Amino acid sequence: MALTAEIRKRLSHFTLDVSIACPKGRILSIVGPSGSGKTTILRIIAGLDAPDEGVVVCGERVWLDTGGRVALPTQKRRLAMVFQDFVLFPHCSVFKNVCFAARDKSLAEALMKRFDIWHLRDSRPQSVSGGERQRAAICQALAREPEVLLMDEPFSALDPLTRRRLREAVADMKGELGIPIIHVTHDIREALFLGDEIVPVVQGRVFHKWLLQFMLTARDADLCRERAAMDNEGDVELELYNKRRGY
Amino acid sequence: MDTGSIFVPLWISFKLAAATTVMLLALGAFLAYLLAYRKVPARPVVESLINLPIALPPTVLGFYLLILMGPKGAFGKAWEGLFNSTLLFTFTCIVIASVFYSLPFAVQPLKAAFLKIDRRILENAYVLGLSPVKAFFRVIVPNSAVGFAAAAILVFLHTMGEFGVILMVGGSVPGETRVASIAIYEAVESLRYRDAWVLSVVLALVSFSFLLVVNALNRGEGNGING
Amino acid sequence: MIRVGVVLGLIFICALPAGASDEKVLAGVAANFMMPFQEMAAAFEKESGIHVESVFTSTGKLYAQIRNGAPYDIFLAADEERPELLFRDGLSGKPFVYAMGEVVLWSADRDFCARFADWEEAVRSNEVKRLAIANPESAPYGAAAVSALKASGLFDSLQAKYVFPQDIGQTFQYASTGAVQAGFCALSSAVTDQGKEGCYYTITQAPKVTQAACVLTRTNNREAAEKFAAFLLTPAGIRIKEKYGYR
Repeated sequence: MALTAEIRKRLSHFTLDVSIACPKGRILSIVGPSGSGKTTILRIIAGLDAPDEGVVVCGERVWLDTGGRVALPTQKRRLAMVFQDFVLFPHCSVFKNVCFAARDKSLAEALMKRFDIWHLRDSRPQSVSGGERQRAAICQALAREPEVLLMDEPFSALDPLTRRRLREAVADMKGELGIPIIHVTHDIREALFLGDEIVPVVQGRVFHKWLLQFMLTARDADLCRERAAMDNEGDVELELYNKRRGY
Repeated sequence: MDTGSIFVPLWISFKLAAATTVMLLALGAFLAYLLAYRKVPARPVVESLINLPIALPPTVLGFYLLILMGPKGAFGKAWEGLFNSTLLFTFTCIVIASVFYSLPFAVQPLKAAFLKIDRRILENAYVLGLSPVKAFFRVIVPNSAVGFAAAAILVFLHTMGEFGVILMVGGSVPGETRVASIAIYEAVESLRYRDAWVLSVVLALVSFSFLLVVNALNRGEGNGING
Repeated sequence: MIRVGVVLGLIFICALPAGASDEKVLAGVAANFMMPFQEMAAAFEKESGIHVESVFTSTGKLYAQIRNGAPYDIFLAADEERPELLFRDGLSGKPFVYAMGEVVLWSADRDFCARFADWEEAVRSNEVKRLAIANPESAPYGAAAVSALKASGLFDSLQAKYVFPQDIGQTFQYASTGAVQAGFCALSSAVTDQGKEGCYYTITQAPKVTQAACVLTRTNNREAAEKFAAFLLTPAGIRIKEKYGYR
């Protein structure tokens, strides 16, 4: 079951025009400078925004087709989304938050244990740390057993250590989850680390050169090294990346 | 003309305030939801209409309602067709009038409370599969408790103290539409100053104790945020 | 501060008497007597040069105001009771009757009076669903209507139809807007232009409403006030009030 999306939408300074496809069990990272339209792509996939033209298909189900006048409301799209900042429900305990859309409470419990927040089950989201809250948000999203997981700058508001740990946790889970994961970030390191495929988006368009230029500058040699250090496959990100995209 | 105990009007005022509060929490929440989250056609017109009772003298509002709910008025006629009974000068009639009169006092605090909720929390609810109706009850309502409490108390007190509108459409029918404020007015007019005093003191005490509760609630809320 | 000063100044200016005549009388007048009173005051001013200002409201309110020191020179009540009470407590001179009013059954429907033999048949009919009586405790015309209903033995059987407006003015308003099918109004209302658009039954069983006036003890314009009191009973004064349905 894959997710494909073709989207066109006029924004105030440019037109967003991208097409992406993400197979199950894979992470597609959309990376780009802030204000490039990345988040809008996720919001359109989620049905929170409407494009001028577009098609979003999840597996065999058409979620959106402006030509065929199909537009499922958000709640009918079986997806989950982890937002940039913490949007847990302030009136519920952490456990109730995770169970909010869970069909199976034992799954919620298992997720919370796995993300090491089970001891916080009775706390209010306001009274736990940012990292704990974001872990709870990931549990809440996964407890829904979604067919697609959307992550919008999920780790940006966290301290570097927590960020790295959570990244690793998500990367570990992707195969097990077996669903397409679309991940948006402005942080190229994060995209390189998490993304099986990387789509750079600048001014609303897929722009591979941007990433290349970025990586070829002196500063970004560090990036390549870091990636190499983290990734056993070696130091060939650029080549790999190019191959993947058919360059 | 036996009105029974002088406390009967107080009981009617209380019943009226309670009925109005229940109806307005439902209607007010619905309107506040539309105003806070939906595209409303001719929004300035709609908002002004809802707030009109604040600006209009109650007797003017009462006069319009008198005409509207009278046997010749559109609403009165429709009511008579539906229920085969006249609407004007009944308890139902003063409840309807009070609902109009106190509408802004329900809509404003509820709208403010709804707007205070982070839009993304609501979006998260949709993403988690909640329909707008379910999201309203499971996310918006529990996060607007203070707004609901404020609306309920404002409407209740405003209705307890209501005079001009009921003067116009109530007709002071004993045991039915003769509320405390009207009974006080009549007592003064009829030189029954002692009755007027007793009723006024009780009414003032009721309102005062409600405001004390509001104060306590506000302080509790403040502590909750700090603590 | 400046704004407050301006507002206070305006209030002060507004509070000044309009006509700067040397002598003036401030009268508190029962609302039902407004129409003849205005004409009488104009005639009196022409004749004597004394300006008469007036406040029209219910007798009960005027009475309460006078008890609490309102600066009226003369009080024209709608009943005998309140001037008598003021006199007894030394707040006024001896009351005198200045007009006799009459209560009638009035309907805004011009054909109403052709359908029934008399007022008793009219109030009993199913056509009259609601019947307005000015609050008999405070409004003398309401009290007169109640005693007529009692004299005819109808009072108890019609309980379900009664609506009690606060005064004779509101009674007429209920009847003229069609809120009630008929109301016990003052003859003086029934003979106005608006009253003539409907029709009325006379009520022989109803006692006449005796309206008494008194010059108040605290007046600073005793001479002018007494002159005006005397004018009320001159042939010129009587002609005016008869025109408006009083005797």
